Amino acid sequence: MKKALVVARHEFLTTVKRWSFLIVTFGLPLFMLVVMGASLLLQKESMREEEGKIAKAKIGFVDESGLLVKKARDSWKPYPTRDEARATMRADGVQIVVVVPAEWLRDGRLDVYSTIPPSLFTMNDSLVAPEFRDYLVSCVLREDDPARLARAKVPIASTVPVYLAETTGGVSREERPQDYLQRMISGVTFFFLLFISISVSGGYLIQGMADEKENRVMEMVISSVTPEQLLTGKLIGLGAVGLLQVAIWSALGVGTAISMAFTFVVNPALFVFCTVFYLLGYVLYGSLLLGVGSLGSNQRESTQLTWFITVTVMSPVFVWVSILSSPQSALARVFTYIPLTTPTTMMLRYSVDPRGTPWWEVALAIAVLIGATALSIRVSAKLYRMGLLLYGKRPAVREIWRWLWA
Amino acid sequence: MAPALEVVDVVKAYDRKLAVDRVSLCVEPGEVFGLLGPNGAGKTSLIRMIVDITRPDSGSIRVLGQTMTPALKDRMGYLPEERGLYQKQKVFDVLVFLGQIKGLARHVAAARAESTLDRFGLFASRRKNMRELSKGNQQKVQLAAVLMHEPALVILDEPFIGLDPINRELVIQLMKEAAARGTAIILSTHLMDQVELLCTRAYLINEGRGVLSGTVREMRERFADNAVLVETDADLAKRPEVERAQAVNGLQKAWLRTTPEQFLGGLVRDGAIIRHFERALPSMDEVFIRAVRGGAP
Repeated sequence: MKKALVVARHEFLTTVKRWSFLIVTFGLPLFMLVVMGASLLLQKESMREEEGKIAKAKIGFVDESGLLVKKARDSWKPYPTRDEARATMRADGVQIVVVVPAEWLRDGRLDVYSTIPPSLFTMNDSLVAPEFRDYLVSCVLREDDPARLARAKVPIASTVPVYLAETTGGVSREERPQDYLQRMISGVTFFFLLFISISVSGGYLIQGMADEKENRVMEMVISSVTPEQLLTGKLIGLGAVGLLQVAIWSALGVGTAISMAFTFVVNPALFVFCTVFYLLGYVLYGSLLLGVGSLGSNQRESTQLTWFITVTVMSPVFVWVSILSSPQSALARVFTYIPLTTPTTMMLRYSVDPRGTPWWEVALAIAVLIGATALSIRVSAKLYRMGLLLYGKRPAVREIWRWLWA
Repeated sequence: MAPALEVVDVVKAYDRKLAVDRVSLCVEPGEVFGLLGPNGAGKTSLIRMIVDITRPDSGSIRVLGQTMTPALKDRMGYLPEERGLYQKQKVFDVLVFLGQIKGLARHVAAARAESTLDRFGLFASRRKNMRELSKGNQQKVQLAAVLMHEPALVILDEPFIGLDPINRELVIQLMKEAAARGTAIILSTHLMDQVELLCTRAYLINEGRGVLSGTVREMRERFADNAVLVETDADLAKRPEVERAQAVNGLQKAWLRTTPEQFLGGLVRDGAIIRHFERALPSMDEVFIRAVRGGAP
C-alpha cells in the first residue's frame, strides 16, 4: 500500500501541476462565467430599455362593453370608438390603447393597439399596465372594499403544502415538499457529481497510461511496483484529481456549494449512503478503464477500446427523469443490478424514496457492486500486467483470454 | 553467500511459441555476467521474468536466495532496452519518484538523487524537464535511477547504446564500482568487446535455449583453432608442424599440425628468435557468430 500511495502522490502532483489541468479547472468556469455574465448583462439592459418604454407609455382606452363604470385615472385618455383611437392616438401622444370589447366578460379577450415597435423581449408582453388590470377587476366586481379587492386580484398569496408519501404498507406519510426536494437534489447532485468526476478522472487515467506507454517508462516502473500497486495508486491519485476539480468547480459556483452543504447537513445518512456508492462506482469504473485501456497502444486506441464502458456508465442519463418519478419501477430495478449503473441508479432511487426502497435491495446492490469491483480489479490487474508492455500491437482475443486464465 | 540469481529450467511461451526453453543459469554477487544472444533470442523475455514483470510457465527463479516477492524488487535495478522517462517532468522529480518506488524514503531519495546527478555531471540540469535533455543525458538519468538505491542485482539491457565514448567510459566505471561493492550485474549487449572487457562469465541464448555458458576465457578457448600468434625471425610457413600461416597485425598466425608446446620446442631447438608467442583465441564476436550459426562445438 505504501508504494501505491507513492504512485498516487506522484500521479496527483504530476496532473495538478500540468498547465492543461490549471487551464481547464480555473479557465473553463471563468470563461463560462464571463460569457454568461456578459450575455445576461446585455440581455437585462435591453429588457430594461424595452420594458421602460412600455411602463412610461401614455395609455388610452375604449369601452365597448359598457362595464367600465368606475372612474378611471385622469392620465388615461378615453376614446369613444376604436376607429377614432387608431386614427388619432399618434397625434394625441398615446402609445397604447386598450379596447375592452363587448364580449370581454364572456371571453376575457382585450384588443391592444400600440405605436411601440415590437422587440424580442416585449413580443409576448400583454402591453396592459398592472394598474389598468386592477381597474378592470374593480369594475367587474363593482366593489370598493380594499381587502376584497386585494383578494380578488391575488386570490392565492401563499400555500402550505404537505406531501402525502405512499409507504409500503399503503399508509400515507406526511412530509414537507422541501424535504423531499432536498433529498432529490442531493441524489441528483451526487448522480451528476459521479458522472463529472469519473469522466474527468477517466480522461486522466487513460491519458496518463498512454503517456507512460508512449514514453516507454512503463517497463522500468513495473519492475519496481506490482501492476496491482500501480493500478491502485493511479486510481487513488487521479480519483483525487477528479474530486479536487469538481470541488473547485463547486466552490466557484458558490450557490451550488451552499445548497450541497445544506443538504448534507440536513441529511448525513444520505451523504454516507451516496459516498459509499460513489467510491465503489469510481473504483469499478476506473479499474475497468485502466485494465481494458491498457490493451491499446496509444491514447486514441485506449479511448476506442473503453467507449462501451463509458457509454454503459453514462446510460442512466437517458432515463434519470423516469427513475426520479418512479423510483421503484421495473426500469429502475434493471439499472440497479447492472454493476456499472448500480451506483448512480441507487443514489437516485434512495434519495427520492428512502422508505420505499427495500433494505434488501440496497444490500443486494452493495453486494453486486462489491463483487463486481473485486472481480474488475482482479481481471484488470491481469490485463494491465500484460497490456502495459504491449507497444504498437493489439493482442488477439485468444491471447487476452489466455492471460485471464493464466 | 547465496547466489544473486538462480534460474532453473525456466520455460515461457507466448501464444504457443516458446520464447524461453529450459534456461538455467546462476549469477554470483560481485560478478558482471554477460547475457548474450541475437535479436529475438529470448533475452528480454528471460529478463522480464527475472524482474517479475512476467512469470515463468515452469521452472524457478530465486533472487538473493529467495523466491520472488514484491519486496525483492527493491533489491534489484533494471534498465530495459525499451526505455524512456516522463518527458514533461523535472529530472530531479523523476529520480525521486523512481527512488521512492524502490522503497527509499522521500528525503533519502531526494538526497541520493542529488548526489547521483552530481556524479553523472547532471546536477545543473536537475530542474530541467526531461525532454530538454539530450538522448544521451536522458539515458544517464535512467542509469542513475537504476543505481541510486544501491541494488544487489542490476540488469542492464544494452546500456551503451546512444552514449558517446566519454559517457560509455563513465558507465563502465560505475559498473566496476558497483561490482566491487558486491553488486551482481547482468549485462545484455551486442557489443562483444565490452563483454570481453567487463564480464567474468557469460551465457549465450539462441531461439530461447542456452547454447553456451562459462567464463569468457573458456568460451573463447572452446571455439579456438589449433593456432598460435608468433613474432619471430623464422619463416613459419616453411616449417613442417605448420599447416598454413598468415600475417596478422605484425604477427604471424600459424595453424598447427602439432600441439603449441611441441611447436614452440621445435622453434627453440632450431635457434629461432622468439619475441612473442601466444595461443590464438577467437574474439567474442567470432564466438558469438559461430555459436549462433553452428551451435557449440
